[in-house]
Amino acid sequence: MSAISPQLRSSPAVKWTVGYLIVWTILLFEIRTLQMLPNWGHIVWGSLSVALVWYWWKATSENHQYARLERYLIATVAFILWWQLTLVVLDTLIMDSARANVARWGTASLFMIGLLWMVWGVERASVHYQKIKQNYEWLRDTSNEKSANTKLARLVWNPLNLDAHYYAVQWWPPRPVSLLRSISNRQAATALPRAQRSPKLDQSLLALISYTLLFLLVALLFSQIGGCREIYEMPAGGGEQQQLAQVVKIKKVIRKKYIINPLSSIIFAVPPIDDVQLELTEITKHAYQIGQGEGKGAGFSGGTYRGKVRFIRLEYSGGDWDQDYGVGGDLNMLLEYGIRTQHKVAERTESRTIGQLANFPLGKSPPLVYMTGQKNISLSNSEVKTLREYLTDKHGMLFGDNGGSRHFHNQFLSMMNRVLPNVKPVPIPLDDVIHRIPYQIPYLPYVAPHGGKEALGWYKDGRWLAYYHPGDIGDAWSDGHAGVSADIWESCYRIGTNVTFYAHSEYSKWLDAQEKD
Amino acid sequence: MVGRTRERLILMVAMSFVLAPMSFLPICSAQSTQLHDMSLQRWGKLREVERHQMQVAEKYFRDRNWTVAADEYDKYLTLYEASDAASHALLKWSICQVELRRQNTAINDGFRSVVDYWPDSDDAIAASYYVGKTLKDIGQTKKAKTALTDVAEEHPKHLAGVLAMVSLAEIATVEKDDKLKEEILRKLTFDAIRDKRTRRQCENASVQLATILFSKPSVEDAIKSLATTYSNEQLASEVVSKARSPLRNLISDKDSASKAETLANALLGFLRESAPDNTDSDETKAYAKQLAFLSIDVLQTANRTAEVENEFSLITKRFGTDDELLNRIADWHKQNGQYAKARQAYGRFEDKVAGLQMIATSYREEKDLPQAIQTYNKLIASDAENQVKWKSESAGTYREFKKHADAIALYQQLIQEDPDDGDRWLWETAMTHKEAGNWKDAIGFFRQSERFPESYWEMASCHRQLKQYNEAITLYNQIAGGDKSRAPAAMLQIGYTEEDAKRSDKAIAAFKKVCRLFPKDQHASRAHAHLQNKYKLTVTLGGAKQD
Repeated sequence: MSAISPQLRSSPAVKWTVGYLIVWTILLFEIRTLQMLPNWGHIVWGSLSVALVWYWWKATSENHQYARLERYLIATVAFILWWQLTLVVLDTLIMDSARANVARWGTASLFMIGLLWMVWGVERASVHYQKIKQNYEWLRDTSNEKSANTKLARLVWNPLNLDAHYYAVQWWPPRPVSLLRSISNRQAATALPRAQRSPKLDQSLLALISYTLLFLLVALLFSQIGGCREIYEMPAGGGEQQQLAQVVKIKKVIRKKYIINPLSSIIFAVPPIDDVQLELTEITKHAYQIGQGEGKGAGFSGGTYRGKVRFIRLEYSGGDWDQDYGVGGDLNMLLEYGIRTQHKVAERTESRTIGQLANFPLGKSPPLVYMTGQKNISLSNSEVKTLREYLTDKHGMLFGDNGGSRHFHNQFLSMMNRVLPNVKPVPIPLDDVIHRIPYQIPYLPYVAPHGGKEALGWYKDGRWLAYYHPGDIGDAWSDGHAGVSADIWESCYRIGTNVTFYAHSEYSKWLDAQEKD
Repeated sequence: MVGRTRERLILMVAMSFVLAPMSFLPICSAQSTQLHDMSLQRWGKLREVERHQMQVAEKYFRDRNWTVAADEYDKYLTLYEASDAASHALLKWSICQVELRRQNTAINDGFRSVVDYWPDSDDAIAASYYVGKTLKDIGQTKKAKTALTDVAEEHPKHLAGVLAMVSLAEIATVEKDDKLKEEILRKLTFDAIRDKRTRRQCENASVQLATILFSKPSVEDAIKSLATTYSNEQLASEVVSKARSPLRNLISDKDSASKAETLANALLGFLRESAPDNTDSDETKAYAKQLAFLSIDVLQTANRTAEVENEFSLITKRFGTDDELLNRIADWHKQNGQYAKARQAYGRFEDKVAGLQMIATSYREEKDLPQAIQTYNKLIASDAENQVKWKSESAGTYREFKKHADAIALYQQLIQEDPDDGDRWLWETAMTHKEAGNWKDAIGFFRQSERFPESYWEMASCHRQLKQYNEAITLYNQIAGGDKSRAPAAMLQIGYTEEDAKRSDKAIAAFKKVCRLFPKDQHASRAHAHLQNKYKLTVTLGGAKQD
């Protein structure tokens, strides 16, 4: 950096680069918060970085002592820019699984790159301080200067300096007296008892721990930025909460009649002469609009014209929230819902952390979130509180799906016991609204009975707050439908449609009621 | 002759009159405590055709064939709408709907119709209760509370009223409404009429109420509550038994230590008051001794160790020493980790065999193998009648301490000495070989055992250890073919065995087969999850619908 010539520093290239990076940072915040700009805008802006990186790479090709360092710096910046660009591209192509992997590995790589820079920085700083120390020692030896002696006698607190008094100190067993004395008298030369350890080791450990904590803190802050404020709007419209009408057309097929000569000597089984084979064709058509309220077109009276039904998967710690994420299950269900109900649906599916649910305001929060997995569910107390508020105060609904184990079943029940301690799970009746509208579900379908064979529900204040499917319904939605028969996966889509519709119509009713109040 | 024939005829007719109603008596008596049962008088009022149709429906109901039963009750209602049992048929039809998980249909088209069309019938009361209960079972607690409260208030002496109160107490438990729960339990304990049909509910309520009251602690009321259920002879032991858990909970919390102290003192006071003044007879003496032991229980639970020893010495002085007392003293020493003292007590047993057995057990608990075996040897020598039992215990002890060769030697002796139970000893020998990792020997003994399919299962497991995968698969296939209930588990194991043999394709095929053939079984769930996790296969076949 210091090797960059003054001409270059004041050159338009630097100004352009700084300007580019400022806009890039703003766009990064935009995509994490508002998401108003279409994805292609981000891709175009991100792609410009290729030219920029190429320019700087060429510009630093001069054979000076810092050329290599500069190139490392350019590579680091390029990594961050291109990593984010890749994420946006994968997001646009709806390659959720690949996106999740790139995000995960990118974060790990960023950590490692940062660690290398940190090691380099600490090493340079400690060399710098060692040189200063040597200068003081030389001064003392040559002039016996008092001030130099005083400076050397002082306790060093700077962690970049290897002579910091807390490096290579015997911490165990603890000696509170020495510790207190050293803290109370910062200038005292009396240091803590020394240990047989290298100060370099202590410095490296301290640097590693500090860097890791800082990285985690920044990552945490950055992940929270994603939902400063978010809104969910349902598609506007109206309709009836009724079962889909099924029209059966009967086609008569008259089979060929045999003319039999009773005097014939040939004996064969005489077919019934008037046998009529009926060919039934079931046609399901929308005899009315599916929805809620009195708006125009299929939708919800509590919705808006730019609103869409979205499929949001809930992220949680401890397990595998992203089980089969991006293999088509969520998206297939969303598209099927759109086709079956004629409601406007989002182009892609999404995921949110439980903490991010708090970012949705009252009346504009998602009516339904989906949760699956087969391992642990580990929620903090604040997450439990957020989820409870989402379900009760924000009128949300949780769609739980057991992705593959009895363990997950127990985990889900225990989580719900924390979230809704005064509500007991009950088997949902097959003639409940949620199993009747828009599709009649005569029997609960499942891919594998991981958590029994009954759908459980948590009912409070006149509605279901959570619907738990015990048998991996998400697998039946995915491409290939887990190899189950057509009537099973069709039933699974119907359940998905019913639950999604139920959550949205209940939300819409609640919004209507609030408006009246 | 003619006269005798006439007498016989008269007797037969009379018998047929007596026996005719008895033909359906078992049906009624078997479920007479159920709310939805029809009384014998009502059965008697039915016409023959009605009775026939009703019996058909009831048969399917008893067989839990709900779909057919519902259709049969429906048929009854269509054919005999004006019959006396029409309300009963509709009530039963509604219960079938509940079982078929169509609870809303049951409430709206069934139970409520019973109440509307036959408001004065006994079935209407039952139906009112079922409305509340079904609402509770589908999570609509607010509506359920209203419905159940109405039933409980309007029919407090009816079984439906009692059951409604029980359901209300359950709702209060879920909602953590302690006040309401206590109020309902008090009504059930003290106010409800206890008859053959309501006794069980009221007794349970009295126990629940006592537990709540002990936790407060309101000991007097708790004892009153239990006194409604237990006789004087049982009361003291039940009081201590029911108070033990609340006392333990109060002690575990520092804040409630004073409450624990109060409860323990009250219990000791009650036991002292209950003690008979005169202990001349054997009965009163035994009762007084029982009360003294109960006092020790209370002191032990309350962690008042110093007083326990005093109490033991008092009992010894008052009643003398016997095996029961010595056993209690030994248990107390063992709880405090004083095994030597415990063994001294066991050594003073009148029943020397029982004493030695307890000594041997205490050595086993102390992980002292030589002493345990030596004690069992003494038992073998002194109790010739039960030599087999003690040898078996010895062998068990060797196995516990991983001395498999010694255990096997003893089992071999037992095979010779106790041929009647030979298969058991063969099995134990095989299991010991398996525990020792002697897979081949284990297979040899399992093969001789007659326990199918367990022996095949164990043999397959040993073959897998020996990496003889094909043999293991053959055995699993034989299990699957011979025992339908074990077929899913056996086929799942075939998958795992193929996996051990590094034949992934065959393993995948086996797991998929489990999913496809037994989609409703728990093993299908495991196979499905394994295919997804290990092989990243989402297409696992399987899939089914709720029964």
